[in-house]
Amino acid sequence: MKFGIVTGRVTLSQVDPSIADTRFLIVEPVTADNLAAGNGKGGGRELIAADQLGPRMGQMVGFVEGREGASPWHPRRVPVDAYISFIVEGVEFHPPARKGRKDGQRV
Amino acid sequence: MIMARIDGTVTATVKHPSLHGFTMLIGMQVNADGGECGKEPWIILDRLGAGRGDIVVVSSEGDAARQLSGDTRIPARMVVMGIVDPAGMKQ
Repeated sequence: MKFGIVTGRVTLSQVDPSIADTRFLIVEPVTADNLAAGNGKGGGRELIAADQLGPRMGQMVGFVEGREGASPWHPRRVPVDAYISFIVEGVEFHPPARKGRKDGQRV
Repeated sequence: MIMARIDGTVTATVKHPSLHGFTMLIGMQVNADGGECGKEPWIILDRLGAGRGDIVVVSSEGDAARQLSGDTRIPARMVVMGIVDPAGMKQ
């Protein structure tokens, strides 16, 4: 799983019947620098993830990519490859200092 | 499988029910020499008790998560398979 910021929602006018009742959110992956800075920003390349938890816009979530994105529907087979697994409540993230990271980032 | 350095933890109450019972660690993927690779941290499930600063071996394929949780519906891939002995890395 990776961290992502919910930046939007996609509504579909035509959809595969197997996932007709699923919500699709736009998620921007969070880089290590942004996570350490705690600035609420993503910084990665955004993607679409299926959601059954209902996070708000701007909230941080954990999402899984790949075949496991469809696991919650098992044994049904659905055309989903990204899924929001949890809504982040608290993060403790303190990577060691590295060249090139800005001051103030506890990294 | 990959290697990762554990740099933190994440908590969540609203989550897929299959994730209950796992600690969720935050790890940066590293090379054998310890250098970071990749810009985005991984969220890694753990039941072995790995902690901050540990280098762990992580299964990056979902079947390990399904086996450990006993839940075929678990939406996760990264699971700690072992904690690297600091004296035991050979190259």
